[in-house]
Amino acid sequence: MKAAEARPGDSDLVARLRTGDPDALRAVVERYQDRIFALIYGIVRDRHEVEDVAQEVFLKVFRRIDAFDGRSRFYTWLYRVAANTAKDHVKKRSRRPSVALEEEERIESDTHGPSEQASRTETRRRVRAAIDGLAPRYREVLTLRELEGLSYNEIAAVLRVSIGTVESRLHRARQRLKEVLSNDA
Amino acid sequence: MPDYTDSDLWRYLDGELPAATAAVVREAAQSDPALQARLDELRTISAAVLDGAPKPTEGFSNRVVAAALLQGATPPTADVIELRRFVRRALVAAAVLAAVGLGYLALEVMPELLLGPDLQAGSDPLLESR
Repeated sequence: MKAAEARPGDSDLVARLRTGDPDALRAVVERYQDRIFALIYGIVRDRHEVEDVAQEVFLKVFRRIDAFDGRSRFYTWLYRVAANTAKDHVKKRSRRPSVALEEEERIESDTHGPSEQASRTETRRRVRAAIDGLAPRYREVLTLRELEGLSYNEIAAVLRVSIGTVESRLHRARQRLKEVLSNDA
Repeated sequence: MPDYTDSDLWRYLDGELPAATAAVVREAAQSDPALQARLDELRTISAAVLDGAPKPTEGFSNRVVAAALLQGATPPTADVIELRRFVRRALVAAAVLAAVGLGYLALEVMPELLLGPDLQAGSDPLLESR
């Protein structure tokens, strides 16, 4: 898997994190920030909140590196911390991310022709609305699957659930999105 | 040609089918436009999941490090980590011992609290009621 291949130095970084090396923290952030942002966004679904949650994730990793016992890969543990932090954030939040969706649509309108953009934006809006409507436990499975193409087994390890649960949640979530796309056609 | 369910096709796209089965699906899709269209539709759904995810703004890693230093969020030393593990294990062991001790106390020392005076005396109210 490409996630594992791209991380030859994770064990070194972990060892340095245990000594409180801030440069190791910086290296971890720079190595994983894109994936952590995508994972958090997949669960939180609000662009404005992603950076704050991501910062909280990396600070937790720095503070609680002693909780990483080395029995799993570092990125598995990191993704678990990120997914749990994002879900906790969603629990605390009561409002829906409607403003963020409107802003995303405005951003997209700058990059496509008028008719193509209108159709594309409408499809995306429907799919995103459907994703927003899913419970966080479904969103996290979907996002982890698309994030670097994690296998069912790896997703199960990150979330500490069975492979059957991963398959079931993925299937239900995707069927919901498929219904939305079908209605869109 | 097999009638593939969406679940089959998702497992194919996710790389979760055995290689031989995946090869059969791949060949079938090449000769069946309807199956290919179904796969394309599912790929569209996959692509939409991470669509719109924001990228970190410039200097994000520096801000995280600064926040860590400001909050004094330094991780514990190896000695402290070992001490915490020892304390955690000791607390678990103490909890187990306490539970066993309480169980012994309840059954051996104060059985009337659990079984009632009749059972303690050796009688069986269930038999007596017959």
